[in-house]
Amino acid sequence: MEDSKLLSVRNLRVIFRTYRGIVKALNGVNFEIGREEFVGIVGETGCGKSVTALSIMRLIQQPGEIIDGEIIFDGTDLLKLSEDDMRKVRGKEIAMIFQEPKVSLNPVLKVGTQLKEAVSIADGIPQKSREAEEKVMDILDAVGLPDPKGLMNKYPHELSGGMAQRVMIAMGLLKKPKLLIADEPTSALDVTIQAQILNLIKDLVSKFRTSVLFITHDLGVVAEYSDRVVIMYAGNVVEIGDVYTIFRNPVHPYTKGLLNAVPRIGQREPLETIPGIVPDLVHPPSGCRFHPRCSKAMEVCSKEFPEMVEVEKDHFVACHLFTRGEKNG
Amino acid sequence: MNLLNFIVRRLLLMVLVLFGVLCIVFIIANVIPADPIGALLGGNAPPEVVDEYKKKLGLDKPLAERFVSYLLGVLRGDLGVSFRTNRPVLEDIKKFFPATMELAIAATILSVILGIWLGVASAVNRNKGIDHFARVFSILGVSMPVFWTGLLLLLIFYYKLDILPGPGRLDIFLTPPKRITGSIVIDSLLTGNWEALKNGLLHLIMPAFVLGYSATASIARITRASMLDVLRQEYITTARSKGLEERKVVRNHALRNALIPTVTIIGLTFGSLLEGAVLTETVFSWPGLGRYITNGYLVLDYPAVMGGTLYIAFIYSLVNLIVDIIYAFLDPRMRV
Repeated sequence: MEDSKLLSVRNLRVIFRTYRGIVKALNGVNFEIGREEFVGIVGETGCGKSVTALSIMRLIQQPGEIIDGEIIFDGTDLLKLSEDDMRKVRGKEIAMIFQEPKVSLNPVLKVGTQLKEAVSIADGIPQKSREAEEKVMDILDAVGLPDPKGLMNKYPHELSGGMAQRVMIAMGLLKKPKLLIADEPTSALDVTIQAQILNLIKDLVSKFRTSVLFITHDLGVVAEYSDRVVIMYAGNVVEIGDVYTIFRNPVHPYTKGLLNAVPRIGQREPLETIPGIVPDLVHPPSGCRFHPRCSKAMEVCSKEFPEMVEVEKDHFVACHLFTRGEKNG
Repeated sequence: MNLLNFIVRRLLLMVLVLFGVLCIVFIIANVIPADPIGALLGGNAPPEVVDEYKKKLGLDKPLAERFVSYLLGVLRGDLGVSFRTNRPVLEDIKKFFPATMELAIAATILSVILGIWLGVASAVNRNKGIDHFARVFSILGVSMPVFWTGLLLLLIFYYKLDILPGPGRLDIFLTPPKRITGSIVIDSLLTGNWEALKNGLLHLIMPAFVLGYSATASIARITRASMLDVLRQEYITTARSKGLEERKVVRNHALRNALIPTVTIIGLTFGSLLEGAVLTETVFSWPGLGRYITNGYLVLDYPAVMGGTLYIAFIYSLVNLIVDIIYAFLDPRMRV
């Protein structure tokens, strides 16, 4: 089973040392991504989705720090690699695209220069070579951008958001990575462009046999594109399961709350919300971090951290409602 | 073309600015309660001679008339005749300005290289040794007055250690190179006079450092702040996520973005270099425009003071125009 997984993140803990105190951003995150699998991570703003993504790339910057855990990628623990080896992984094996495509491209360098740089790192060919140029033109064509030649001479501010995101996807996929991490790649785009970009990602990853870790807060997107869903809350994974299972039979109170907060066409009643706000991660609630907002909270919830349990095949949840059930049964 | 349009517009603005400077300089020079004739002839000159000199220098005419004739003169490129040297002020400026320019350019080069390097090094190694050093160095730079640093360095490196030459542009016994541009470094390069070149450069080190120190400090501070800001930008994360080495991330992706605010500061500090030159030149006996203006002040030589100030304002505006053009070159977003 170990080897069939492309990535497994185990007990990942990340903190940020700020003047206010230590922010416990990730509090033991566990999940796996299979080969050619499309996994969506869902959660509110500040729940640690992006920190998880950056940790996998080992791009957490000061004052952030990974203090514990394992990130096993294709058989090696990325956290144990030297910086040089990690750079090779970034250059070739894992690609990342971001929420704001226009600020993710360097404003003072031409689009072509930035793409050729990526080719040169991934394939070890000189940046100014004819070969690098051809590869870039091919990939620009593959992401559906017209006039690749003209585009290469443009600066990022001359592109629209959708075009810039296509350029970012091109930059990520030209190295044919094993894993693509997409951190809310469509949140900053118009709805019509969103669908185009999502379909493009879906098509290309199946063509290149790339796995995807897709971060979003849009449950609709997750439902449509993901194979599996990871629900995060305040630095913890609270529920993992197959996309159908999660949407038909959510078991964690937080997941249920999230799904009830999605408006449905024709719905007349006011939208349900989860009471309270996301906790302050400098002083997170004890025990289960969701307990102050949970309608089903019990005494044990504020005392003990719930372990992840498998409620049905490949459906995991971290909630005392189920750990108890298991103990009793 | 857009750039041409921009330059023409800026040149027109510059004319306006220079007119403003001219007005202010003229008014200040003429309303201060001092008597240039008295300064020129001494307190005991007979009244006839005083009247004669007043007439000769045109000081008997009303202020407005003098202003108009000065303005018309400036438009023709005539800055008047110095009371003290009896030569046209423009001739004097041509004679003294190259020395100042040489000093200011040397100070700029020094402060740009040192300042950017320090700024980048301290941003990349934030809160480590080099950063603390740069911070102290910068605070000293902006807080120590030029004349004091100058005297202190002369005392240490010339008088005590004797490893750098003392005041002046060249050693006394050295024949200066044939005057072509007025800059010792360039002239000795052009004439192949290596001895003068070496000596001239050695003489430049201390005054250029003293003059450029506070500029170095401000450039280092701005570069550090802007570099820290740039390193937080998402395109830097993109560059890192490509698997680029950190050194190249800084050099190829961050530096050019970080330099945009720095370039603006370089233009502004160039002005303070020209201004600081007045003191530095006095301390180092540097025969430049700054000293010319200072000496002019001492004998109330108004044409010299006004002409020199106007000329410096002109150079300053020109440098800032060039800076704005560099700005457009660095940042493609400015070119639209």
